[in-house]
Order: sequence, then structure tokens, then C-alpha cells
Amino acid sequence: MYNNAMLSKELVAASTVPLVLSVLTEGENYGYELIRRVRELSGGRIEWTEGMLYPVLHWMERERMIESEWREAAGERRRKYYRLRKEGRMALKEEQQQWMTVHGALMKLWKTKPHLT
Amino acid sequence: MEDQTSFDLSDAIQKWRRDLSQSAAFHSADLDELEAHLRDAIPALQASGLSSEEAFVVASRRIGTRQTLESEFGKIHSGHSVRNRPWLAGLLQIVTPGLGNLYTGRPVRALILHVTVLCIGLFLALALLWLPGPLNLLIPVAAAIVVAVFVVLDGVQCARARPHFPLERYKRWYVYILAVLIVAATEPFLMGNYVIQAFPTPTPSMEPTILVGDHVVADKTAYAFSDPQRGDLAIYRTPEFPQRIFVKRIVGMPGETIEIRNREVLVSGRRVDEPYVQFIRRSTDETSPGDSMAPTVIPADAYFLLGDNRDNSLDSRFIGPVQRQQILGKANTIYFSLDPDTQKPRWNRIGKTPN
Repeated sequence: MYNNAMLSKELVAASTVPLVLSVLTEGENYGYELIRRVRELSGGRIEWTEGMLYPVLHWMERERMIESEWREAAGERRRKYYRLRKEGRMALKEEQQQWMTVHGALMKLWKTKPHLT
Repeated sequence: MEDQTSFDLSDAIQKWRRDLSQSAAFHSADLDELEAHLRDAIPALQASGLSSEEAFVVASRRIGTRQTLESEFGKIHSGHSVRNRPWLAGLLQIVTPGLGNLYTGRPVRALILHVTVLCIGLFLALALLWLPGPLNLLIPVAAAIVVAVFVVLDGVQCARARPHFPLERYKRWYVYILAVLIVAATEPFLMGNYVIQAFPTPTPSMEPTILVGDHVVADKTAYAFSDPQRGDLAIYRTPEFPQRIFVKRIVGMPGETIEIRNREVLVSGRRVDEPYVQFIRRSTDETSPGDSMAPTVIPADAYFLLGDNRDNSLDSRFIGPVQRQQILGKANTIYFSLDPDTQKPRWNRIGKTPN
């Protein structure tokens, strides 16, 4: 039961930027595929209101973390592709450190607590 | 399987897009992107066994409703979130009708409301000028209150209807200032020049007809379609005193010969009966330069004007006849009157038309 729990709204909001940055390290992508990839990686537990991703992407673009381009791949429909910029890679590094800090702290705490399984 | 003929997918997508485009939060590039997303999502859902209608419904629900999306998109286009504050919208409506609508992101409504209020204002100004007392004040004042309440409530309502609304590109502080300045520079000017203008009365030259402390509205339409008449209380300027605006009574008409003999005014040789005149000096023993004037021919297109308070009036006796084009309008209604000594309103004078 617990394993199937959806990520809380707050955590979804906080993790959107690092998730987007991380998926884009795999190469440029468009919104629909980004969402599909995140859903797949999270086992369906990260569920975005899909339309809400776009304002985030636009904000990241304005912060110069990513850049975008409308393109029509051969035989496909016209889509807006996003790719990482240097600033985005730097932002991701920072995000990684921060998430690892939280993760590390929680891990230490949880391991020291005596618990029954 | 589903009856495919009853559901037109491309039609549904178009409708969906049109609904989103109702909100100014979405720019057309946003809509392009969201539509591309929807068009990607639908075939994937259909592949898992849904009908085109079901796929459309699920895909559009996953994207989110207009209400959920517009505030986030709005933030992006503005840089920060904007809350439409009802009290501010109401307040701005008072500053300039329509400004509150503009603030809540309704420029077309703002324009329509502003023009409507302007037309009502014009109509009420004419009602003030043309209705008999006491309706001349009661009706415009009551109507103005009703209109003001409606305008404020409309602004409040607009803000409530859209509590979160994006900063449009036009929503900049200088746009508001500009709008107020344009309105403030044009409308009172046009209204004051062509329709109605209010004046205080600081001097007693027209007593007992107009008292010091009377606030008078001038009818600027009075001489647009008809000529000034003898006995009219005309409001005019003269080049001799460019800073002052006079109100005096028309006594001599264009082309007439006017003469004053020991306080008696003669027009073309005939004595004029002036029941409205007051003299301060009890006897004629003391003479004043205004008591007599040699016969003077009033030029064509000019008028001879005198103050009713004959001993205390700077008028045509001293500065000559007044050109028709210098006459601005006609004293119409005392809209307010304050006793200069007691500083109390003289209620019995308010609403009266001096003549």
C-alpha cells in the first residue's frame, strides 16, 4: 500500500526542476515525452498536472537553464524541443548537492533509529 | 466499440483550444505547445484501448483545466503572481471609471464602461442645465450616485470573478498614469469648454442676484445655437484682465447706443427699467465715475454688460463692450452656496437659477 503512494503535491513541486534538468541530460526533449519519461522512472508515482509543466519549462528558459526550439522531426508533428544550457548543468549540480544533503541526513537519522521490520 | 461518427476529434481539439484562448494568460505559442501535447497524448491513450472520445477526455483532463493552468501561465508571463484585489479595483473605478476594469485585465469592458459613464455624465450635465429646480440638482445627483455605485461594484465584481489574473503587457504603472492623465487632460477640458463649468463667486459685483459664496455652473451650450439676450447673466473674459472670468448682466445689444445719466441707463434714448439693480450709496449726493457715461455705440457683435451691484462692479462702463466670442456661457444654476461670514451653507439658494 505504502509503496504505491503518490508523491505529495509539495514534493512534486519541489522536484520538478531537478527532474526536468536530469531528464534533459539524456538529450533534448519535448514536454509530452519529458512527462512520460518521469512517469516511467517514478513507476507512475510522480503524477504532474501535465499542463503545469509548461509554465515551469518557460520559467527555466527565462532563467537561462534551458533553451527551446520549435521543430518538425521528419514525418512527425511540430513540437517545441528543450535542451540544457551550461547554466542548466550548473543548476543541476547545485540541485544534486541539495537533494543529496537532504537524502544523506534522512538516511543517517533513519538508520540510527532502532526499528523492527 | 464506440460510435465514431458522433465524436469529431479535431473539432473537439479546436473547441478545447478556443476555450483556453478565452484567457489572456495563454499566448498563442503556449496554446500551440499545449495542443501539440494533447495531440501526442491522445494516440497513446487510444493505443491502450480507449475510444477517441475517451482518449480526448482523459488527455485533456491530465493537462488540466483552464482555471488551474491560467494562474501559473500568467505568473510566467508577468514575472510574478498578481492578485486582483477587489477593494483596489473599486477604488480605481472612482479615480477613473474603467480603470478598475483595466486593472483586472478587462480592457474592452473598461473602454465600454468609460464611454458609457461619459455619455451618462454628459446627459446628466445637460439635465442639470435644462431641468427646472429642484429637479436640476436632485436628478443628476441621485443618478450620479447610482452610476458611481454601479461602477464601483462592477470593478469589485471583475476582481472577484478573476482573483488571479496575469499581468498583461499593458499592466504597467505608467500605463495607468497615462490613462488617468489622458482622461484628466481631455474630458474635464472638453466638458468645461463646451458643456458645463463650475465657478465660485468671490466678489459682490452681481449682488443681490449672485452673492459672494455662491457656486454657479455656467451653461456653455447656451450660446452655441442661439444669441445672447438682454437680461442674460453672461460669463465672459476680457483681454484687459486675462486672469479673471466675469459674470455680468447684458444690458446693451449689438449696434445699440447706450448712455448713463445719473445712474439711469438709457438704451437708444429710452430708459431701462432695472428692478434687479442695487446701489450701495443711499443718495446721489456722492457721485461715482460709474454714475454717468456719454452715449456710446455698441459695436456689431458686441454687448454692453453691467453688474447688478452697480456701485461695486467693474464692467462695460470701465472696460468697454464685450465681444461675442469672449462670452463663454450663461450663469445657470447655483449648485452650492456658502455664507462667507458664518461659513454655513445657504440651503435656500442651492438649486436656484439666478436671473
